[in-house]
Amino acid sequence: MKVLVVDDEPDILMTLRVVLQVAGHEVIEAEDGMTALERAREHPDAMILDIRLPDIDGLEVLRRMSADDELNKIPVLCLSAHSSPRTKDEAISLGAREYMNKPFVAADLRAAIVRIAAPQD
Amino acid sequence: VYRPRRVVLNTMTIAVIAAGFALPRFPGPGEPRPAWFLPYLLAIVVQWTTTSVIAAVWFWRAGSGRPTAQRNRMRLLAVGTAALNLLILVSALRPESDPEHKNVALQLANLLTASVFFVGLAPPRQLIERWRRPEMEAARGAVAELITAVTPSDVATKTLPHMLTIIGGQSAALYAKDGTLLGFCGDVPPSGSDKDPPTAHDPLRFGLRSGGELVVRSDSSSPLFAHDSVEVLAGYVNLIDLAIARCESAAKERQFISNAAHELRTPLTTMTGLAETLAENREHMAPDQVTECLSGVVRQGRRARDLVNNLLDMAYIESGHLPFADDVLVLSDVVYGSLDAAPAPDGCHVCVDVPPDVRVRGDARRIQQVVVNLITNAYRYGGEEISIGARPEADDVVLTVTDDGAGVAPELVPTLFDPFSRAASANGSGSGLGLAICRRIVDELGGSITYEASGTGSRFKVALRKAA
Repeated sequence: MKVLVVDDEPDILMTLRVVLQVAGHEVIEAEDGMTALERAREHPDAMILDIRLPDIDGLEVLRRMSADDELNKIPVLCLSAHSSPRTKDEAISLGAREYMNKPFVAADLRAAIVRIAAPQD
Repeated sequence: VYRPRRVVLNTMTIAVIAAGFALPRFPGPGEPRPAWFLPYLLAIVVQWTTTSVIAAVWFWRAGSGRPTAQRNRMRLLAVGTAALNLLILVSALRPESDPEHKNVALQLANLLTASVFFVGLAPPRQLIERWRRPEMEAARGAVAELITAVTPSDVATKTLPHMLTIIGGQSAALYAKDGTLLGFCGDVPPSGSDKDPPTAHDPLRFGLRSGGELVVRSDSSSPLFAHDSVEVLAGYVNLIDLAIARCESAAKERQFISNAAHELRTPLTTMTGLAETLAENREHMAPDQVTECLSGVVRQGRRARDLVNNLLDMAYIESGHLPFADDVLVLSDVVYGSLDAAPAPDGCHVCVDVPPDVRVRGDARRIQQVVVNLITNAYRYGGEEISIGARPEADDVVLTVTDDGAGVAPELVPTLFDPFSRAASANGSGSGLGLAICRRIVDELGGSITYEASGTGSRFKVALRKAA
């Protein structure tokens, strides 16, 4: 499975890459929102998206993806240090499939990626 | 008094006065009364009675909904006015009195009416205090509510109803420093950002030391004797100020804890994610991948350690428990000691221009902590060239750390020395506390720290006390 991971912290990106690669996933990376929108056109099977990003935030990325016919089918897992219920609700309402807080449990993250990428009923 | 009634009343008064001037003469005691005298007397009685009744009703109604002391005083005036009118009527209508045998009941009634007026106009202090009890109870209730308030809006919600009870106003609104409506209570809703919609009477305004304002409005029959309540309210406003300051301070603490937790999440995420992966999959991972993971764990572990140390430093400094020595120091020794503790990374060059004879007063360890923080920031956010200089200025020595990096974004400068003020977009590995700690240390040492743009880079200036 090809997974796009988006985070502005290089060590978080590295962690996500290692956590996913050991499970056999291919990982592509982006460090900001605009790059994420570009790399999303490489047809990833799932996307892990941080909320706090340097250019446009994760919520704006979700908003733009939902308005784009090519991108709005990509299942997104939001991964953020913003644990406020309001941010989570907004992310879900903008199309995110799941929302996970940092720090995460590696096994839970791998399970969540498989879950959101599975065909929806 | 409504306008049509006022016109009738004024006309009657003018007619009676004019008739008094027009009369040829008043009949003396015992003289026969001419035919015109009775209608004139009747006109005076009707005019006086009408005026008195209207005044009494106005006094009574104006007391309604007012604080107890104010209400009772207005009602005493209403009763006094009505009684005075009654006495005049009785005096005018009763048979000729005998000057030798005065009517005792009438004399007593006169005395009673005068007493009612006196108490209404100038009640004894004990009576006022007794009347004020319900409002004092309300004020005590409001103070108790203030203690449980969590936000400035909470302060407004919990206290404004008590405010209205104390002053007997129509509405009360609490505004923040920036004009935002924190809370409102009463009959007249505020009209958007307009803090002073047109009313018959100017509202009472109480400025808060925090910069906000309490605005209390009364209706058109804003009565007499309100100054007592205004004094009570003014005292109470000081408590509101304290409560708002406490709420803001608590909010800052909550924000600080939230920011600290947020900063810890990145190193924890990396360390736990990598450690769990290593523990479960190490035998299946390539050696360079294992090395990469271990390096990440070490790097983020150090970051977490630095953050925790900085948090502890902040807590110690803020609590006043961190001891500060007051030694005479050779500043260049402190600067070179800082460079030993935080050597320049590859690609960075540090130029030091601190004369060896420059001496300052302070704590060597703490000044070194400040210099290390500043040069570490310069390594992290600056360019390739960093310079450290020092020169005496009046009673101070000004130490400068200058870099040729991108500088600080103008919008960040005002809060640069606040905890966690780093730009949301910055993905540096700093804790967000370094400059805040620097400012607190320099403050404790009796100096100051400032930032200024230096061409395209940054310059931090630290003023330290010059040693004699």
